[in-house]
Amino acid sequence: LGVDDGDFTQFVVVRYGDLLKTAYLLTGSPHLAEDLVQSCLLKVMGRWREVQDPMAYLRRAMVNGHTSVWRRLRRELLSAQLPEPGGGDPTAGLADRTALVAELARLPKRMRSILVLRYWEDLSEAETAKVLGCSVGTVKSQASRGLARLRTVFMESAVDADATRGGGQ
Amino acid sequence: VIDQETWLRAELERSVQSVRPAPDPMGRLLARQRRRRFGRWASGVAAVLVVALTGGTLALSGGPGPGPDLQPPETTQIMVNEEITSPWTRELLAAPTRGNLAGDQALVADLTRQLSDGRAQYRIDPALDRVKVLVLAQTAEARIAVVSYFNDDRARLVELSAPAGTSTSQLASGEFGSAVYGLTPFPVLRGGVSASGRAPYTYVVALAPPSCQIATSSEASFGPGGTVTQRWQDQGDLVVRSGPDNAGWWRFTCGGVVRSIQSGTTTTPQPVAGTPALERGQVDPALVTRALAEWRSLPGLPVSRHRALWGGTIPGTTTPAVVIAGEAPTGEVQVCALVGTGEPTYLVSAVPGRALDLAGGKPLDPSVTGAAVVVTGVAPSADLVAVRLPEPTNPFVLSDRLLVIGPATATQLRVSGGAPVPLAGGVAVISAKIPAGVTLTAVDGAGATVGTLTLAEPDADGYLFNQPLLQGF
Repeated sequence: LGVDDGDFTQFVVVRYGDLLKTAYLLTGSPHLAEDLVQSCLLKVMGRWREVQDPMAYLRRAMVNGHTSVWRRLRRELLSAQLPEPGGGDPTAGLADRTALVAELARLPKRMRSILVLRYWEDLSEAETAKVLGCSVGTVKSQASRGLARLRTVFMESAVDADATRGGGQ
Repeated sequence: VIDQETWLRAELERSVQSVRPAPDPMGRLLARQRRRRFGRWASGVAAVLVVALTGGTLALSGGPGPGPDLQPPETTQIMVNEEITSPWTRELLAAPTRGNLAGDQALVADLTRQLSDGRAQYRIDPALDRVKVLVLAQTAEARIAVVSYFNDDRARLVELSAPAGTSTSQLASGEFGSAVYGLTPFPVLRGGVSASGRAPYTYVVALAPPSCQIATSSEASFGPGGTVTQRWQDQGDLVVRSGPDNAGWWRFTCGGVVRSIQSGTTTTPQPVAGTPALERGQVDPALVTRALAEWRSLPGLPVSRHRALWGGTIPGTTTPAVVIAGEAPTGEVQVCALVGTGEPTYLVSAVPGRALDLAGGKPLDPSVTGAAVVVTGVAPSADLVAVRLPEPTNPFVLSDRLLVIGPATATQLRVSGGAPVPLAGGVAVISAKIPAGVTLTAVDGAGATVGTLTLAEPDADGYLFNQPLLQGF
């Protein structure tokens, strides 16, 4: 691969973090997220000059890439390189982060991808449909159902948490 | 009260707030690219080949992630070669646990128990009903375990590491890093972790059966006629080191017989000062740049300057190629040729039909034959160089064809005194079976010798810069 491309290097340096966050939401795992981002970047590196909109390309590659194939491959071929998951609130926010990401991971793949593209990447319904190769109607219905499902789970969790706190006092 | 969309946006933002990339993402990306190409012969390359053989589309440097125009087939099967084919593998399994924590029997037993219970997460076939900790070691930064799941016929290797101070259960769970391979008698494992709040670390672990000897070489030099000599240093039967793999080359000797020679990875790419002008021929300048980029990852000797000797279409084919030479201060050259323009790029070093030819003569999926490949060689000078071309139908093995680049004034090539071969612009493709032991002599129109090259390929399973790669176990 031709890697002497300054534009590519700059792109990686500037956008790696954004890609990693999207990948984290798609995969539910920092380890898988890093693997997914690197894999897609390696894929695009060799055709860098041909790609008109790298973010759109990579977004699509990542959405298509977090498949069962990837999960099967990861332990076979990759050595460990974790992204750095730590941040400003290492304890208090961890449970919530884990809960949302875990709930996302439980959603069907397409529904999860739609939610991430629509509400994290802020793509329009038409753009989301184009990335996923589905209809705008599918995006609308899946987004609506996914939102409702997440909201329901979190409302129930909040109620349970309140009840637990109340019982313990 | 907020609407659901606003709520989800806020939650998503909060969920990824703390996700930050480890330092130097570009460096790690390139390191991964290099790891894929030059390391782990017995596992990574095997997996790639198995994918190719089974109709998959996994690319060695491109990784398994699909692009929009390359969807992975859901039926792709990844198989690790876990059949025990060598008595040295059995000896490795029979050896006691090694490493500076091996004496802590309670710790070894606890780890063994946890790994036995947690085999599912490594997708271990239940038929591999035994677990053994081969190595348990602690460096300043990390705790490292090399484990095998095995039975009488098959064995898998699981490599685990975790930052120092983490628990045995975290190590066993692979939370900080794990990798699974088929077990070979002489594994060289290179790993590393960069995790939140902890110092990043890298390490190298190599092990051999206790009756064998590991040697490493991080220095080589040119000898007479452009031969390469490694400076081997004995390391015992176990190596556990902090830091990247700077050894360059690894050799494993058992019973006085060299059983394995592996090339290392290049963690520090060789510097290349600019892109040299193409000296002869005509080729897309991007191909020269790409060939040089590949060169930087090869575990070669010190180079004082790089030259783009020739670029063009390989005689008798429609395949473009570019030949780069790296000159040593003493004038000898390492040669790196990039053949083809496809993606991804494979380093081709395997001798067909030998241990590193993992296809074993089976037909490959056509998807792999469009890849570009890199082949290597050495020569006493840049005046006359030769590189072995890849097999057109199997980009993972070398062919009987040699691409010869002689002086521009040369009109003929004599091969060990045989019938002259005409040169076109100093270039020709000749046939020479592996291993070749031939002398090439380039002569000009007046019959004067303008270049000589003695090609003495060792009896080996593969070649990298004409140095033997062995997997004779």
